[in-house]
Amino acid sequence: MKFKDYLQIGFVIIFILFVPICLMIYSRSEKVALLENKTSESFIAPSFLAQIGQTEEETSETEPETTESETTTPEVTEDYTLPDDNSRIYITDYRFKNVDTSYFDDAVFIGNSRLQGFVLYSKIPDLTAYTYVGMSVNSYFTKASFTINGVQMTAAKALENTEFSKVYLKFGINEIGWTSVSQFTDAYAKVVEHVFSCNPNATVFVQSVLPVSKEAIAADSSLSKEKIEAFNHGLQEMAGKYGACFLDVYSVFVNEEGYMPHEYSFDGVHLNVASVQHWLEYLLSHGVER
Amino acid sequence: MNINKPFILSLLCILAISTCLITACGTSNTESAKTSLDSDAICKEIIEAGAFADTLNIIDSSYSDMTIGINTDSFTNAVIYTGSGATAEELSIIQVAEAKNTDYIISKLQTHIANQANAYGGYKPEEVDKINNAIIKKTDCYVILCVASDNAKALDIIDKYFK
Repeated sequence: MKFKDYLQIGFVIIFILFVPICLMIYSRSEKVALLENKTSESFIAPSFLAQIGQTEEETSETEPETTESETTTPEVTEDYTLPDDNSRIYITDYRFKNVDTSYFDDAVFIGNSRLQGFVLYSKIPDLTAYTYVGMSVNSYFTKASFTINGVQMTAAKALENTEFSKVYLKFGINEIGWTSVSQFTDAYAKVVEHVFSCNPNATVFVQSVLPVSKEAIAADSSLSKEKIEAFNHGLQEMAGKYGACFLDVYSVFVNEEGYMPHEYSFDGVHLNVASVQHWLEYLLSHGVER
Repeated sequence: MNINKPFILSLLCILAISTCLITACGTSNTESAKTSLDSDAICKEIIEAGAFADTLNIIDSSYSDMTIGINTDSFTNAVIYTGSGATAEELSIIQVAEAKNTDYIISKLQTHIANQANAYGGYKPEEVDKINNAIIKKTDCYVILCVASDNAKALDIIDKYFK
């Protein structure tokens, strides 16, 4: 080959590779910027560094200092005042209809680990949910466990930052040790009122407390089928009073003796994947006509 | 047939260079993927080894933020298993585009683990020991998180892939 042939090869290679290389460099610089942005919020506990074979100094370059709120779930201590709300239309007589899963497109699910199990196991993608293990009607206002746009906040604040038309609430098992039913329903009512203050036209579903198995009650003295029944009676009254829609999911999972059958759950409290499908079927047959 | 040799040679060179670039890990041309793991198979192997007391179920990775505190745009693939809520047991393998991104994933997993310990501390204190003994390891572009009831059984498998 002649010199001009080599020259021709060189030009062709440079020309064809120039554009993709530029794109790669650009894409890489964007990713690095994104990563630097994210790592500014991150934290590695020193106790874990040994486990992964790193020292704090080694990670300090890529993991800058962060605020405490990123690493903990702080309790929000200020009092929460419900806004005045005279715009809401109270509905006490709900009519149900069959719906499909698109009904949940504008819904938010808020509650404890049992509801989290529903969200994760129902296999419906992209549900909006503010749930965590141990969540209660009180911690709804106090525990900053959710991060929205980089800001850690309570479920209450998260809901204020969310557009929705329906809310499915699920509380009760973590409050079962509370001294009275009214203590629970009064605190629950504050959650319902807060939801309506965010959207007066929303449909708020108050789901009953699910039963627990006989074995679970035997293993945990704080559990009681009578208490669950009393809670549910109180919830039904509270829902009617505040214009929320009471959903008796309890009835789907209770046997004649008032317990959850053992086969529905691993521990007699949290539903397994197969049982969650019954819960989903119940919700799909209880859409609300507005 | 009139074949333009320089043109053919150019094409061959481009093909060779492109192959090198495509097979690199992510977009980095300084780091390359040394390891390719079958995350699904490894998770199943750990579960079948009997490392967990709870029944673990695979979760849609779109719920990664809820389950492990990591946003979906932070990884290229994630296999996530969680327990029923009865225990704190869980298993995840997260794959990122570049090996250096694993540090960020690990930091988020540490935060998640700290949050879990906090949540279970007032709920099921017996689970906190499991959480505090969480296994977090990385290799190349992969990070594994494992909260098991039998860490020895889990590590038997994990150590084969995450050295």
